[in-house]
Amino acid sequence: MAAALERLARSTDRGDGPVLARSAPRAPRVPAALLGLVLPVGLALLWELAAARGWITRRLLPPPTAIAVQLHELALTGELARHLEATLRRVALGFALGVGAATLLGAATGTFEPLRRLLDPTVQALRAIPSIAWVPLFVLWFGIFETPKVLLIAVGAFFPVYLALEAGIRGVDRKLVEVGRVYHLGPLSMIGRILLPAALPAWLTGVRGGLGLAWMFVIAAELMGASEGLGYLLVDGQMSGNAAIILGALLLFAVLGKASDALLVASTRRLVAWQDSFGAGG
Amino acid sequence: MLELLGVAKRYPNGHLALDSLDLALPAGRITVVIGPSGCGKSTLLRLLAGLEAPSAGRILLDGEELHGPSPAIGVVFQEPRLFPWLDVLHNVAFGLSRRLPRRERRELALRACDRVGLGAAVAALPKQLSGGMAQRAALARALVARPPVLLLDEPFSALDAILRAQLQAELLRLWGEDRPTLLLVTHDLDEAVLLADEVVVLGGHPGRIVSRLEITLPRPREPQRPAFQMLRARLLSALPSDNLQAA
Repeated sequence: MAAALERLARSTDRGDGPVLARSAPRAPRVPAALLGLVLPVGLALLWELAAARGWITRRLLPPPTAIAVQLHELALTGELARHLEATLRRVALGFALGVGAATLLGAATGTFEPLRRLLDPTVQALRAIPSIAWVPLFVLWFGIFETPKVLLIAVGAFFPVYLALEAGIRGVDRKLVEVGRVYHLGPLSMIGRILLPAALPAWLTGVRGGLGLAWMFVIAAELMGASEGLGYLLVDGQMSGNAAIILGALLLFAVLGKASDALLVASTRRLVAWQDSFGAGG
Repeated sequence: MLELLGVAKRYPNGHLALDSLDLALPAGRITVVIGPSGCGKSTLLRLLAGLEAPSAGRILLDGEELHGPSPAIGVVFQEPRLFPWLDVLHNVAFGLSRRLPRRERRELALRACDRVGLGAAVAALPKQLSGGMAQRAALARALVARPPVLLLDEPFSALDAILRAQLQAELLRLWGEDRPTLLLVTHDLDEAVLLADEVVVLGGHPGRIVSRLEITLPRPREPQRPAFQMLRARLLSALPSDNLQAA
């Protein structure tokens, strides 16, 4: 098989034939997406059945239909949109801020060794502080409104992106960097034309991790005191003893987290299509 | 004219790779450097490419001392070293100064792709190329700016015999167009006799020039001819006997 491929490659070697493209066997997409739904839908049906049969206490674990009714009511009053918008705005701002800062700092420390020696130990020490521990200080500095919430999310998103980019740049093939030297690239061109493109897959992995943490920290931020947002809904549900609201908010977090991750992956797939790796076939 | 005057290279770990090397590469000629593994062939090429600084001595290009890589010198490495995120055209255009207008860069790169027979594959990504095509793209990148000096570090050693013969012929054809000063490092005796105007034999630890051989056979040269075989035999006898890979 390999020999046949090599022969084919050689026969097209002058470039006048079709280019030999590596085509990995591709699983049909729609059934794969449906397959991922089997477990949650099955569990929801079982849950509904258990509630209908009285196997579980509806007050503590209301069935999916009750949660849907609760969310529908919130949607009708416009309250749901307000909470969603508040949470999405905080995540978007904090995530953008964290990723932006991490990209600048990670690119700098990954590229310039003296800068890495100067800054990296401090960044690593800051990373060792559980991010929630910043809350009292942020509240003291910035009050209880939007700023501390956005900053907390930014801190959460910062570290995975920073670590991934710094390591990604340091892991760039020395031989490619030498090509850059042969063509007299200055430091900025070296970063922009070789180091960052080569580290892009690592950076994207970091960004995905950062997005996940941004969702985690928005809850923490909203639990610490908010008048709107999905985190506020959680507190509200707890205070009013309404498990359907809590479960509805959890469900929305799951859907939004998954959707934003899928959107990120889909929108960046083209950027890393050049990778010739096992997982890059699709 | 590219000259090395009393050049030595000692690496930070103390290893002395080359010592008191004097060598002149006359303009427009093909000089092939041959020698056993570890004799400093690649170090010599890296010094000329400006990727290493000599520990002693000077390297001059047309009388001017070289400090680091020069736009006048194109390099082809043993591996193609293409940027996997750029298609063939943009990989080739990488060899051009960004000061040129985008359109001109594109046209020059297209022409260079045509020259190496990659005209139909300009939009392909490196992962879609065979070994020979990738090395052709690397050659186009080194040639696109038409540098007066071209350095090649065992550029065909990873290819099979048929492909190697094809690319050697193409290299000669391309060299014939502009006649750059060309230095090629190899451990392949046939390649040396086939391509060189002069063969420089390196050997010993640290590496020194142990012999030089002018090749005056008219081109194209045919390896099965007796004159070719005689030169090959002379070269073989000039080589230090330790671990020859090409005998």
